[in-house]
Order: sequence, then C-alpha cells, then structure tokens
Amino acid sequence: MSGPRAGTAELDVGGLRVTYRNGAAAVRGVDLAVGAGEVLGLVGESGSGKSTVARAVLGLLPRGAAVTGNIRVGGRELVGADPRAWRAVRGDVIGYVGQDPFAAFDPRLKVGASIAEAWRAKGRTPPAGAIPERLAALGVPDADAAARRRPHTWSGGMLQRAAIAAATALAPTLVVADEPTSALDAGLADATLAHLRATGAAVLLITHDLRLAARHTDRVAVMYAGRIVETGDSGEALSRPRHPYTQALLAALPRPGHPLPEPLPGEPPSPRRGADAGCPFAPRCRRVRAECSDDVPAPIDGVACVAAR
Amino acid sequence: MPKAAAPDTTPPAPGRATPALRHTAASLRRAAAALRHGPLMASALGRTGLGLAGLALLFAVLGPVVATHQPDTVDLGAKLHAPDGEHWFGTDQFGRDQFARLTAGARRSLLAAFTVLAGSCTVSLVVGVVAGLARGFADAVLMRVVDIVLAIPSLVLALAVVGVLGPGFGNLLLALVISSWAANARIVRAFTLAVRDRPYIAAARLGGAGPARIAVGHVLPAVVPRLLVVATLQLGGTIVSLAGLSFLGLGAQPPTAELGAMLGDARAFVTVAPWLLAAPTTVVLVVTAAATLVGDAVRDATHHSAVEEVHP
Amino acid sequence: MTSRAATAAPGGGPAAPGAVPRALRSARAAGHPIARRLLSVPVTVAGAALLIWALLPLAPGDPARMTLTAQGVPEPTPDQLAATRAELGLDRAPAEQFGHWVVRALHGDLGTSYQSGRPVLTELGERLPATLRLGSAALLFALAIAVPLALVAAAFRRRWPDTLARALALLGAALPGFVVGLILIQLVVVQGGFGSVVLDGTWAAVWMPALCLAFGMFDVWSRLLRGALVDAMDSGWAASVIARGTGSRRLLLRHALPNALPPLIHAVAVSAGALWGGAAILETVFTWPGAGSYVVSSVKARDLPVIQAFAVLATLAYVAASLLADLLAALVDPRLRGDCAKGV
Repeated sequence: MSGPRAGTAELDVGGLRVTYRNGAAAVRGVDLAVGAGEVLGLVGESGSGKSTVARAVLGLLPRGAAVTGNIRVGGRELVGADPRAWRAVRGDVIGYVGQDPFAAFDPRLKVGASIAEAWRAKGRTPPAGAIPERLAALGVPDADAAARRRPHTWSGGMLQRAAIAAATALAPTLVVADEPTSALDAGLADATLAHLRATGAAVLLITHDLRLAARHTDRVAVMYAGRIVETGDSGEALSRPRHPYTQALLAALPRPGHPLPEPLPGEPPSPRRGADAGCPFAPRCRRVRAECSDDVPAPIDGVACVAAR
Repeated sequence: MPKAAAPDTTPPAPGRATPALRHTAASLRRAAAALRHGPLMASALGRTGLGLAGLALLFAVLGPVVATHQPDTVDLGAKLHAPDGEHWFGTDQFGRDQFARLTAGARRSLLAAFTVLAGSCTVSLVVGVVAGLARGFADAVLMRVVDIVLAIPSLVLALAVVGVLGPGFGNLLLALVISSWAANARIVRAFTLAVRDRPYIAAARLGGAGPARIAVGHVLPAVVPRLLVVATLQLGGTIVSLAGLSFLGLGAQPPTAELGAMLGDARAFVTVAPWLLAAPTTVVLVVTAAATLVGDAVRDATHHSAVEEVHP
Repeated sequence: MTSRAATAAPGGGPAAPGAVPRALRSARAAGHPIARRLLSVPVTVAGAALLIWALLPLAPGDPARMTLTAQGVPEPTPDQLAATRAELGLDRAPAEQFGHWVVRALHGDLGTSYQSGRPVLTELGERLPATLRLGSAALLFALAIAVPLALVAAAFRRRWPDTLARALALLGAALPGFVVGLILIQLVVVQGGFGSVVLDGTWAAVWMPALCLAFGMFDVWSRLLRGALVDAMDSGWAASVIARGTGSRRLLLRHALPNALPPLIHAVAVSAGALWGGAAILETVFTWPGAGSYVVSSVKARDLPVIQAFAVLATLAYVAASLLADLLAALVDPRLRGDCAKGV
C-alpha cells in the first residue's frame, strides 16, 4: 500500500467505526493515514461516510454518536478524549475548512475579528498585521479593508480563502477540508485548493469530485458504504482504477465528445442496515462472483475486492 | 348575559340520536387513538399537559353535576365557612358554595376563551385569506389596517372597547376578539401566501376555479389546521386576559361565577378566608398550564409542517 | 412594523446561511429598510388615532349628556345639551370632528374628563411617573430573570438546569401576574407584616408590583432567548467556530448571545406595549397611584376621553418602543442595517 512512511503520519486513523444515535452505522472500519505535507483525497458519493470521517477527526459528531477505533493526530489519541483535550487540539493542531464559506464565520463579526478569534479563543493575541498579511497571501485583494467588512458583504470565493486563513491561523499540521469547493465556481475551486495546499499542512480533503481529486491530491481513498474500497496514488488510482466501484465512478463521469454515460444501477446501501455479510458493493457490481457474498473483502495492496486480485 | 358562554347540556332526543351517537362515539374513538399514538403523547410535557387538560375539562364538565349546591344560592347563615364536608372548597361572603361556583366559573371561562379564539380566528381567516389571495391594492390596504390595529397594545385596545361598550361579559369577549384578530390575520396571510402558489392550487386555477372556490376549497383546508396550531398556543394567554379583565370587574358582573371575577371578589376577604384565593388560583394555574403545555406540544409536533413553511 | 416580520425570523433563528445577503439585496431594492420603517410610523400612528377616535361615537349614550352628568348636572335642559354639544364639536361632520380632535391633540389637548372636568392630559400626566417607574422596574426585573435563565438553559441543554428553567417559564406562563400579586400581598404583607397593601408609587415601594409584572413577561423572553441561543449554537458557523478551538462558554457568550439578541430586543419592545395593559391590572391590585389604575376606574365609569387619551399614549409609547427596538437590533446585528458595501 502506498502510504506515508511509518511514524511520519500527521493523521493516523485505524479501525474507525461511527454509529449515530439513530442506529446508522455510517463508518464501518476505516483505516487511513495522511503524512506531513501530504494531501489525501477521501472520495465517494454522498452517504458513503466520508463526511462522518471528517467530523470524527474534528470531534464534531452530534451528541450520542458512538466512535470506536483510533484517531491519532500528531501522535495524540483523540478517540475518547475529553472536551478540554479536543479544544486544545482544534485550531492549534487541526484546522477545519467547511463546505459553505458563509457558514464559516460568526455573521455578526467582521471577518478580520473572526480570524483573530482563532488566537483569542486560546487566550492569545494575533500578531500585529498578521491577518491582512495572510489574507493578502491567499489572494484577497485590498485585504486591510476587506478584513474590516462582515462576511455577508464578501463573495463566496474570497470568503473561502478567509476561512482557510482562519483555519490555518495557528499553523496547524493537519487541515480537514470537507467539500471546500462545492459551493464555488470551477475556476475558483482550483485556486482555492492550490492555496490550501500551499499552506504546507497535511490535508484530508473530502470531496465527491474525482477530477478535482486527481488534480489536487497526492493520494486518494475511495469510500463506499462506510468503508474504504481502494487507496492509491492519485494518478494511478484515478487513471487505472482497480476496484469495480472506482471504475464505475470514473465511467459515470461525462466526457466531452462522448455520449452521456450510463449511471451506476441501483442505490448505495442504507447506513442503517445491519452488519454486512459480504461485499456491500456486490449487488451493484458488474464483476460480482459467488465468493463476494462470503465475507467483506479485506484490502490487499490497497484494493478491497475479490475480483480485482 | 353571555349567550356564547352558556353551557349546552341539552340531551339529544333518544330515538333519533342513536346513529348520531354511534357516529360521535366512533369519532371520539378515532380521536382517542390519534391522541394515544400521536406526537402529543411522545413528549412527557405533552402528556402532562393532556393530563391536566383532561382534569380541567372533567372539573368544568362534571363539576356542576357533582356539586351539592347551586353556584348562585346565597346562604347568609353560612358566610365565609372554611372548607369542610358540607362545602368542599368553603363559602364566600354570601355563603355561596365555592366548589359549585368554581366549576361553573371554570366552565364559563373555558367556553369564553374558546369563543374568543373562534371569533378571532374567523375574522383573521377572512381578512388573511382575502389579503393573501388578492395581493395588490386590497392586500396593501388590509395589511395597513392590520398594522394599525397591531400598533395599539392589545390589552389597552380591549380596555378601550370595554370602556366604550360598558363592562359586561359579552362586551369583554367582543373586546378580546377585536384586540386579537389582527395578529392572526397577518399569520393567516403568510400561510395563504405559502400555499397559494402550490402546484395543485395553480392547477385548480388553470382548471377554471374562481377565487371563491380556490379560497374555500383549496386554501382554507390548508390554512385552517395551521391556524388551529397557532390558536392552541394562544389559549393560555386568552384565559389569562379574560381572567385579568374580569378580575378588574370589567367582565362577568355579580353574581355570575367566573374565575377572574371570583379572584376579584376574594381580594377583600383574603385575610379571613384564604381559601377564596387558593382554590381559583389553583384552577387558573391548572387550566393555563394545561393550555400552555398542550400548545407547546402541538407546536413542536407540527413544527416542520406548520411553522417553517410560513417563511420559506 | 412590516419590517419586523422581514428581519426577525420566527423563533428567532438566524436565517439559512447564504440567504442573508440575498434577503438584504431585495430589501435594498425597495429602499433602505430603516428609512422605510421611519416613514411608516406617522401613517400607523395616525391610523391608530383615527381608530381610537372612531370608537367614541360607537358608545351607547350621548357624550354631551354624560359630560354634564359627570359635572353634576343630572337633568340637563335641551339648551345645556346643545351648548355642550357645540362645545365638544359634536354638531359637526365626523371628518371635521376628527380633524378638530387631531389639531387639539397636537396642541396637547386630549379632551376633558367626564368625571373630574379637568383636562385629561393633566390627570394622566400626574399619574404617569408612577406608571413609568413601575414599567421600567418591571422590564429590568424581567430581563434580570430571563437572560440568566436562558443562558443557563442553553449551556446545560437537555440537562436538569434546562428542565428547571422550563418549569419556571411554565409557571410564569400559567400564573397571571395579578394572581401572583394577590398571593404576595397575602404572604408578604398580611402574614409577613412587610410592606403595605396600599402603595404610594415611589421607587421604594415598586419592587412588589414590578416583580409581579415581570412575572408575566419573563417566560416568553427566556424561552425565546433560549431558542435563539440554541439555534445559534447549532448553526453551521458555530461548528466552524468550535473547530477553531473556541470553548463552549466563549461560544455562548461571545458568539451565540450577540446573535440571539435581536429577537429578544423585539420581544422586549412587544412587552413594552403589553406592559400598559398589565400595568392597569397590577396597579389596581396594589392600589398603585398610576395611570393604569386610573384608566381602570375610568373604564368602569365610562369616562371616554380618559380612555381615548390613555390608548393614544400607550400606542405612541408602543410604536416608539418598537422603532427603538428596530434601531437597537440593527445596531447589534449589522446584517439588519443593510450596509452592503459591494463585496470583495
């Protein structure tokens, strides 16, 4: 498996399971690691559990969600950590960039003041001039004046840069970005992800956009029904996919000059189903075999599929 | 004297009533089943509220049957008796039985509150639906009137109307309707705007249905249930307003038994006869607590369907 | 008051993220919201005045006869009646009467009390300070109860302090203020021998009626504020703020509370209107020498000019309070200001 060298992982998730209070087992055993400065794309359809992984890493799961397994960030175990430990890690070690930039800031505060809160929440004072400097570095024009305006006067693309500035204010070693560009135009998306990468932090990038993942990640992990079905270097995994699900995802992308692709038949299984007896993708898989229903396939060389071996 | 508040206890004629009774029993059973399995029972507070409401209704409906005295019978030989086996809740300064007066008063207050709400809802439905469907000039004028009425604090408006018409229970009910319809009219208009462009109503309009048919056949059925939710929330406040103004002597006139008027009567004798204060206070507390709890539970249960669609 | 519906979401929750700028843009297209709000005030007040004035002719009985009766002329002669009618302007057309009334009202003349024969504004003016003392003390008491209660309830959501706050609010909703007043008089004054049943309208005596008046208001406020706080703490931006390392106390006090204030401010303004009616009842309970108890006795005596003047004053105060609330809310929440400098 191509992964970060042992001991250098900023984020190390092992055997992660998350069950919500309504009984939905959204994550059913996920292992992944992100090395220092590396960008890992966690891709999959909505409902695959990728956002739950992100929320688990941030400790932002709703009340009553049961988490088992390991989440190590910079060597610290976070599963079962108390609120104080979580608070110490957030901002300083883990940064978070969400999907909707307008939902990233207290609407009442000026954007500069909101970014300054990253320091103030920890009882520190932002270095003089640091905030406009960072905004300018992220490509916000007229950063001084912009920082004195409130979020609703900003454009989405610029506000997402401010969200990156707020998330990386204290130079965290890991940034969790949950669909950070899905509310933005395509051109802005590339620029935003480039800025995110330029911060130098390790990035866990949650996205459903395979093309974006191909351009902006070092490695990808493909999630289906609460498990990772394929991992690999982005170029490799997204140009020569081995798992039938990854293949189907790629085949479903519309391409210019080609007829509209066939959508994948069937529906992903509900997260509220019971324990899986076999491969959860089997009912939709073109290469399904008899042994697919025996066990949930274990990942071998980054691919969790019997047929792909 | 108040027609509206007069209890309707006329038993139905036995011969003709059987199918009607059966029908009533069936709908009561359905209602009971809906209550048992519905969202009201889902919350502990909703259950408490329903329990208290049942208690209050039982007291108001069955109390007069159980009572051993008439509410208005004066017995000067039994003035200001403390509660005992003869007078369960004691007697007042005229020797009138407090239990009998309280049950009669609770019944009168409850009926009056429902009457006020019914009147207020009717007026607000007409104004709100017309404004919401007409839009344009009529809407602007009606809503301006609503704004103007809302600018006068409602209890002050009620006081003014009673002042003009003269104290009396019927006038008080009218005053409360006049002071409460405007807020509901605005709500109804918002409901109407929320439903008026729904596909099935647009389809009916395309199918040639006139404005009256749209209003009565399509908009009202969608708006009335939501207004009922709002009205449930106002029940407690209405009972409190009624009691407060009656307490001042502006509502039910002596010797009529009414909760607020009884509290007003109790004032002068509270040092020697604290039970005159305790019993009506308890009844007011139970009735308004029940109304508040049920209102909250109804709102919570219908929150997504009723409240959020108003401001899409 | 139209703008209130536009700016405060029901239940006080902040609008969906992203919806705010759009809503503001449409508000700007229709003119500056605060300018429109200011423009609507004179129209509303004039309309309310017309409505209040129009109640008078509905009254059964002849105002001229009632005036004379009140002045001690039980059997007025037709000449006396005609003279009084002319004096009151009752022989003119309704529109002219209203115009006359408005002109006189603008000059500070709201008529003469049937009962005392003195100018209504003099009568009310003498009693207004006591009512204002009572009302302002009640507002302060209610805020002092409601805000801490809502903060505690929101901080300990779905735990026992929240339940306790709910129970207190239920008690506040279920027990009318005047009943609390009767109980307090019985317990504190009669049995405790503390204070007096007849109050003199000074600050020293205000606490008991003010507490009762506050008791009728705090429940709505604390429930509303708790809801707005919880909405803010459950919002998407709150998750982002938490993810930056903000603790729960800072989230509540620095972020959620300021965002939850506009709905509370509006509720306080609404209560400032309801206060006038509540004061009328409680002033009667405590024999507080204010305008409220005076109006109640005037209602019983059907002293219409007094009732009219009181309604006009209460309406003016209420409209002013809700205007103030709109301005204050815009001060607290810049999004309500409509200061949309073009985005970056």
